[in-house]
Order: sequence, then structure tokens, then C-alpha cells
Amino acid sequence: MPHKTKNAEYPDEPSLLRAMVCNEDAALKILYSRNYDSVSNYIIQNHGTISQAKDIYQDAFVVVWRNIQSGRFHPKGEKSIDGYLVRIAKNKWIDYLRSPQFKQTSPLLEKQELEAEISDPDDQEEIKKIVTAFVGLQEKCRHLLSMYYYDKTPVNKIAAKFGWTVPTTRNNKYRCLQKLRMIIKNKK
Amino acid sequence: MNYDIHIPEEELELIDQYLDNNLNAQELTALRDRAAEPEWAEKIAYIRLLRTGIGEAALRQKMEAFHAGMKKGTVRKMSSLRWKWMAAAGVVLILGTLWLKNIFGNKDRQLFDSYFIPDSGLVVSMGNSNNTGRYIFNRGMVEYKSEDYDKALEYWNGLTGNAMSDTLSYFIASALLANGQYSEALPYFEKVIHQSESIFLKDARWYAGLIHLRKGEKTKAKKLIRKSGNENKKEILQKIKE
Repeated sequence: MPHKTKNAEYPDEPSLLRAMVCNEDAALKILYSRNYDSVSNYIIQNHGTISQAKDIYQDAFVVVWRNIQSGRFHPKGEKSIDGYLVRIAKNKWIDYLRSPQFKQTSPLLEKQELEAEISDPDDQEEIKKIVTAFVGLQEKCRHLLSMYYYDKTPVNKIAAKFGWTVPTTRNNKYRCLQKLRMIIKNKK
Repeated sequence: MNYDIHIPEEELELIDQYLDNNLNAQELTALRDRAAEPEWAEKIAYIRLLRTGIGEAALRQKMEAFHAGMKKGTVRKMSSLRWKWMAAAGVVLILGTLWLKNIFGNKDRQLFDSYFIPDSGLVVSMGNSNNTGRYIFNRGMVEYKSEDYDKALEYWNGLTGNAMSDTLSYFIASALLANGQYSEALPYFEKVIHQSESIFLKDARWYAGLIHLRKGEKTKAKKLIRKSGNENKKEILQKIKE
């Protein structure tokens, strides 16, 4: 099980990618921070606002994260992950500008060639429902599920943190997941 | 997705171990055999999707923290004693450089502070208006003139479903600038500068020039200030040269 490294240095792209697979905060934060300005300026220069820039950027960041987690992102040279993130964000913005919601065509903005977002649209809809339902869970369940599924913390460490036994921790994880499923089902 | 699919606790545990690559060879083979059955394939796919959704929800919370930290400007901590010593060894050099930069940087900022006066805004009437966009813009302008720039931005940021007018861009920029959000203001002023017919063109150049000056980018600052219509432009250009 991977261990979190605080203030880790990532001298090259492979080390950054490895850290991102393990959801290391420092690595995610580096990628997030160093590309935001570029995307934000692009969107603001092209009919957008700061809040739209933030939303689009975060959506693009999630896509990149998802594709890294699933092993579908294959780096092609130095800083390719940065380019990938920026391209996804720009393409998302161009899609928005061309949408009926915005009702404007932007001939000057050409969508860049991109190895797509590589996600089943049905899955994306389902994931959206899960993300929304997750917010409705109690704090303890959110914490427990995040520790296990996002932070990838081993069950024995979660047990120690909450003062539970390992079987109780597994059972609580199961119960929390069931609650999440119930919220999704009821919102269907 | 079949939300009614029954997954007992022990099956969830097994699938989690499988998706975490924690099964031994024997367990893996057994699970793969089971996964050939449609019901099991569906269970695995469902748990995989739930895990992705939970991960995404957690990531979105993290991103909010990254974003907030980015605005404040985080200071990276040294991770080891060695790094601390290396940092200490560089302190004299850094301080010297900062001291020199401060002398010039402070001068630029002082000039900015001396010449920056927020735009006074537009005269608005809050009477009945059939135009919702115009009404919201005017509400924002009232807040702007009361120097509640955050509130003004709340109104104006809601007006962006359509192509943004130069007036809206200019006043969003002005509110951001008056709020001390210099970097955020600049792209909005640049949008106005790209619209050669805008009545705010010269003022946008003036304020964009001041922002560049504050950032120490004198060449860009001078170019923009020179093209602005501000009555103080000759005076400030002279002071930038000194």
C-alpha cells in the first residue's frame, strides 16, 4: 500500500505521475497550481469569468486525475501532463462556448486534437450522481470512505484512528457504502 | 446501473481487495473465474464506479483547499535538515537580492499607490427596468460605488451567460483592481483593450499600465500608460524613468 509523502519533490514527470496515482496531496497541488493561471487567462480572454475558469479548470483536473488513476493517460515527453490538462480545459471551454447554453460560435477558437477524455458518458453521469450523494453522507462516513478509497489508508490504520477493531472498521465501511447507495437510489 | 444489486459485506471486501491489487495468485484466479459470470462482472463494475465517484468527491474537496492556498500564496516548507542548511547558506544571497529588488519594487508600488484612484463608476438609476441584465448590472454598480467590491462582483459574475460587453469587463476589472486582485483584474482590462471602439479603451490602458508597473514590468507599463488618456500620464512616465 502506498505511503503518503509530505513536501515530496518531483524532479521529473514519471515521479509526479506515480505520486498522483497515490493521490499525494503535494503532487496534485503542484500540478493544480502551476497550470491554473494559463487556463484562467485563456478563459477570461475568451468571454469567461473567474468563477467559470475555476469550474472548467477543476472539471478538467478531475478528468486528468481519473485518466491517470485508470492508467489511460500515457505521457508523451516532458511536461506532457501539463499540456494534457491545459488542452482538456481549453476544449471544455470551447465546448461550452459552442453549446446552446452560451449560444455563440467562436470561429477563432479551434478545438485542439486530443486523445479524448476517454470516459463513457453514462459512467460520467453515474459518477456525478455518486459525487452529489457523497456530500449528503454524514461526516464520519465521508471521512471513513475518503480515507479508504481516496487516501488509500490501510484498514488497520483507519481502525487505529477511529479507535475501532479491524472487523468493525470493515463493517462500518460497508455500512457507509450502503448508505451512499441508498442516497443515490432515492435521488434517482 | 442496477442500484438494487445485492452485494454482501464479504463480497465487497473481496472486490475491494481485487481492485486494490491485494489478492494473491490463487485468490485472483478464483475471482477472475467468478468475474466471468455476468452478475459478478456487474458487481465489480458497480464497486469500481462507486470508488471512482468517492475518489472524485474527495478530490473536489482537496481542490478547493488547493485553490484557497494558491490565492494566499503558500510557502513551501523545507523537508529535511540538509535542506534547511542549504537554505540557510543561501539566505545572505537571497536577502541581498531581495533588498535590491525591494528598493526598486517598493518604488514601483509607491508609484502605483500614488496614482491609483479607483474608477468612480457609472451613474445608475434603480427604477423599474424590463431588462433583467441591466437591472443586475445596476445593482452591482450601486455596490461598486459603495466600495463593496465583492458584492458588486457577485452581481456581475452572474451576468456572463452571453458575450461580455466591454462595459461589464471594464467594471469587473475595476472592482477586482480596487479589491487588490491585481492579477485577476489584468485579463479583463486586456479584453477591453482589444476592443478598439470601446469608450473605456484609454482608461483600461491606464489601469492595465498601473498593474504592470506594480508588477515591476516597466516596459509594458510605459507602453500602455503612454497610450492612455490619463492627465497624469506624462508625470508618471517621467517618474518611472527616474
